[in-house]
Amino acid sequence: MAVSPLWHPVAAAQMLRGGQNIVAALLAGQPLALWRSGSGAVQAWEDRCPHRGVPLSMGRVKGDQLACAYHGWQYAAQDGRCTAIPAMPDRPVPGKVCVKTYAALERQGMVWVNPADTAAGDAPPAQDPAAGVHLRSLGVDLPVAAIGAALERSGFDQAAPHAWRGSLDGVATRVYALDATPQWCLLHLFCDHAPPADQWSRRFAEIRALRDAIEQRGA
Amino acid sequence: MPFDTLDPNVRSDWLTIGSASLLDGCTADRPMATRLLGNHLQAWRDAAALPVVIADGQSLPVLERYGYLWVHTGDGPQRTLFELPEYDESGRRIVDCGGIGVATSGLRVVENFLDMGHFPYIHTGTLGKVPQTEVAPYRVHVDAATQEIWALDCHFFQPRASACAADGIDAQYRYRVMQPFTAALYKSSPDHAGALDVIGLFVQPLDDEHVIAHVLLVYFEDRLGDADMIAFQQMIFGQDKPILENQRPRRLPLHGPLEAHMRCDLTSATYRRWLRQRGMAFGVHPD
Repeated sequence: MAVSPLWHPVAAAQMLRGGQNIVAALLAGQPLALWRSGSGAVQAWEDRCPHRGVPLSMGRVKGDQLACAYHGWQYAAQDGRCTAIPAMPDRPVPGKVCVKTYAALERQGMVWVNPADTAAGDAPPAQDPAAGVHLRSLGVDLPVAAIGAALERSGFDQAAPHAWRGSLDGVATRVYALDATPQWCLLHLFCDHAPPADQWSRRFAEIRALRDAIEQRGA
Repeated sequence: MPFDTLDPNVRSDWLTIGSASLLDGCTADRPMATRLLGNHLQAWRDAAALPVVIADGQSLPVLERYGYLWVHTGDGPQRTLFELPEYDESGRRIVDCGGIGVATSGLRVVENFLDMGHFPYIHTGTLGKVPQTEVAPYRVHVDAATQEIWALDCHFFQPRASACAADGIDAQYRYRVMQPFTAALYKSSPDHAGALDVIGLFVQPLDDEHVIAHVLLVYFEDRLGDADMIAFQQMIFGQDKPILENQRPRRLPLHGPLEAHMRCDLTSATYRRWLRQRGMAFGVHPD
């Protein structure tokens, strides 16, 4: 079965530290709150508390719960259901209060999110290749529809939806492209092994040159 | 440039453009410049020391009351400005805390002012503290004569309720909404048993999603200097500002199911219903 283009690579998985932080991300202009519950499972939620509209990425992770910064309302990992309203500690929480959640999983060192309401019949990205080393993520001022052609002009070949393979500084490199907004993309770059300490700056210069080439040719 | 709304809730009412002291030293040649409802205003004092406010080359009706300037931007009848009798009560100190710009709808700012549930999380160590997070039941009604909202019998545990508080108290609160963009808080005065200090919130709507929030203290307070009282209020407001500026949507949702209300949100729910019933459009999310 072909990998579905419905799965979007939203962030490098190593950015999410279990039970500790919340990462604000954008997918097609929609704000997401990404976090990892205490048990390690990746969560991708609409970045908006259903009580007063405060971004949940401003909140805190408490084990398998995310607490909103404004009133401390808590929501459970997986289903996003509200589990505690501290202003009313002795009353049961109404079942209808719920954060909108999206299917999320971890593959190839990236967090992938399916923004569709159903993932039925939808093949997630493959386990391979292994995560490797996250070089860096950077914004590119070009819509996602133009990214493939621009990367191919720089010698990259498409390996799967949202994923390209090529070479930077003579080293095999993977690029994942996220449609962060309709106007611009986020590129996530990985290689198999960490560069020697004295070669990081040259690698970063190559990455900046790739971005310049992409933005110039797209203009 | 015209005003950018026809909503009679703002065009027929008195709106503040800030403290009257802002006109000190201003003349027709060097006016105070500000914004209101998307328009540019100039203000100064004339030879008789009366305030003059100009928009689009025409002067607007202006009142000077409670140490603040209030202007009327519409063509229709002028409502009566709300009463704040405490302002003229002997023994009280009047401390103007100035204005703070906030990039959101003024209705969000007023709603936050009326909310106790955020005290332990946003004003940790002063107006609240976890685990004392409960908002005890309180009463809300709309006064038949004035059409103002009152929330009564509110109380909340506060570790440091004001700049001079040394110990935690169960602070007694009353909230009052006079206009869509003005509200007042009455809270127990630390050194004067039975007396209530008043905090006035006067929101100047620059446009649908930008305001200047002005705070006026009408206090029984004889220990602290003005600077300490102002610093405390500005600290509190500075804690609210990042929350307010990140709420989405910026405009207050009045109609759809976007935001959930619990019993602890009774004042907020009443405020939204009150805005809905008067057909409020300015600063409102079009859901």
